[in-house]
Amino acid sequence: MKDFIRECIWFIATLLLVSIHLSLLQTLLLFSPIIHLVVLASLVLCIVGRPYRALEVGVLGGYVLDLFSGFPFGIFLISICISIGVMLMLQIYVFKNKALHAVALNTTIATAVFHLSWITGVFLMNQLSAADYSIPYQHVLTLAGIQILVHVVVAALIVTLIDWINAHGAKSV
Amino acid sequence: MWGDRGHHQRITWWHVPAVCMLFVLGHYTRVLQPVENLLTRVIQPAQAMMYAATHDEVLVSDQQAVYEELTKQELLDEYGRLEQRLQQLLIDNTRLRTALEESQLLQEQVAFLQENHYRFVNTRITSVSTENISPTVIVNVGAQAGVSLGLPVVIADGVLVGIVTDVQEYASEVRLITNLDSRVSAVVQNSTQSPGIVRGEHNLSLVMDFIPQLDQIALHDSVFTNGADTHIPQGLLIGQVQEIRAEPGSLFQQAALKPFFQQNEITIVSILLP
Repeated sequence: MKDFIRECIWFIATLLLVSIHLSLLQTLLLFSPIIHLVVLASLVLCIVGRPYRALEVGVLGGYVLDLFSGFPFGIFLISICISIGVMLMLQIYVFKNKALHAVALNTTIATAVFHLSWITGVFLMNQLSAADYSIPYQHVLTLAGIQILVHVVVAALIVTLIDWINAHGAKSV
Repeated sequence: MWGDRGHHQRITWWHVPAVCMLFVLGHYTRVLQPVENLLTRVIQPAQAMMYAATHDEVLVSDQQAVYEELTKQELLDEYGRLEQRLQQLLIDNTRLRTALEESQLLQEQVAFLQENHYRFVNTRITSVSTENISPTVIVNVGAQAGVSLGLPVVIADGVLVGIVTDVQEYASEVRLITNLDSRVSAVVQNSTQSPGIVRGEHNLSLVMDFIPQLDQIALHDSVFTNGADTHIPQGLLIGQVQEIRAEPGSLFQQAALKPFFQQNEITIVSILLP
């Protein structure tokens, strides 16, 4: 029963996160381009060692984003999942420790992969079908760069916080 | 493989694309349609709330930011542009309203004509004839569409507006029933179906002559065609009794009628074919 309630809370929290991303952040010019809440939440969950939750948030978040986006269904879902997949693969095969530089690099690559997948998806859709989804590539790439920076900063803060908690906990013990 | 704190689930890398593909397939095969509907219903109220909370404020602040950066001359130019745009929108709006009204009238007209199994041709009034002082109008169909002299011209629910008096290949002249020279056989819709002749008066209204003196007619009685004229079927609306003029000792009484149309309001008419 506890597990069920916990799952429900995660589910609602994810929906709330997507709602905030879609409504609140999209209208506030200051935040909209520089942060992608769903991607960031998934990456942060990967960093703190909750890959199952990361996948849950990523899949549900991407799914809802696709429902409300004007792009072909699956673009966000696949992009976010690829991003999570890359993050997890890097964590297990390349950056095995949680050093600050490792996490920063990992987050950079994962966020970049998300944007690259998304742009490639739209580009492929335009090429393979009669669709014409125009996206301002230069603008999107600039925003992707800013987003990477912000995501890295957030990831770094979290790692620092974890380190501090661990150190503080060890001292107190 | 990664362990997830608080969960027994263990996921491997291939779970990610697998789950992802399952969802995409579920969407395109519509298996997940009920779930999507539910998600949409759940999320939309929250989104609407957040959007409403920020949108107005953002719009205003964006607009203010834009205007604050403009010089006086730029503001004047912007004002001029907006004024022009407003004019254009007003013109467009008027055109659309006219088109809508015409469409509604035409629908009504066609419904009436089809209901009564009349053969007809719809046409548009292109101008008012300049040759006569009395009201005649020109329509843009002629002999090529089967129009011939004496055919009745109607609008809306079978309101007689005129008679074809001149036919060319691609245009015809219609003499309105309010014309001084117009004559139409008619009956009053009363208990005795009083007959008479309707003619135009002052090119604006109608008068019904030769109504038998002893017949009882009342104000607001409707007057219809009686079918006695060639090509003009029975039952077309002409007007409504507005005033009764009965002189003692006279054989007939007279009624002033109010026509069911105004010349400047008719744009699309139907000509009833034989």
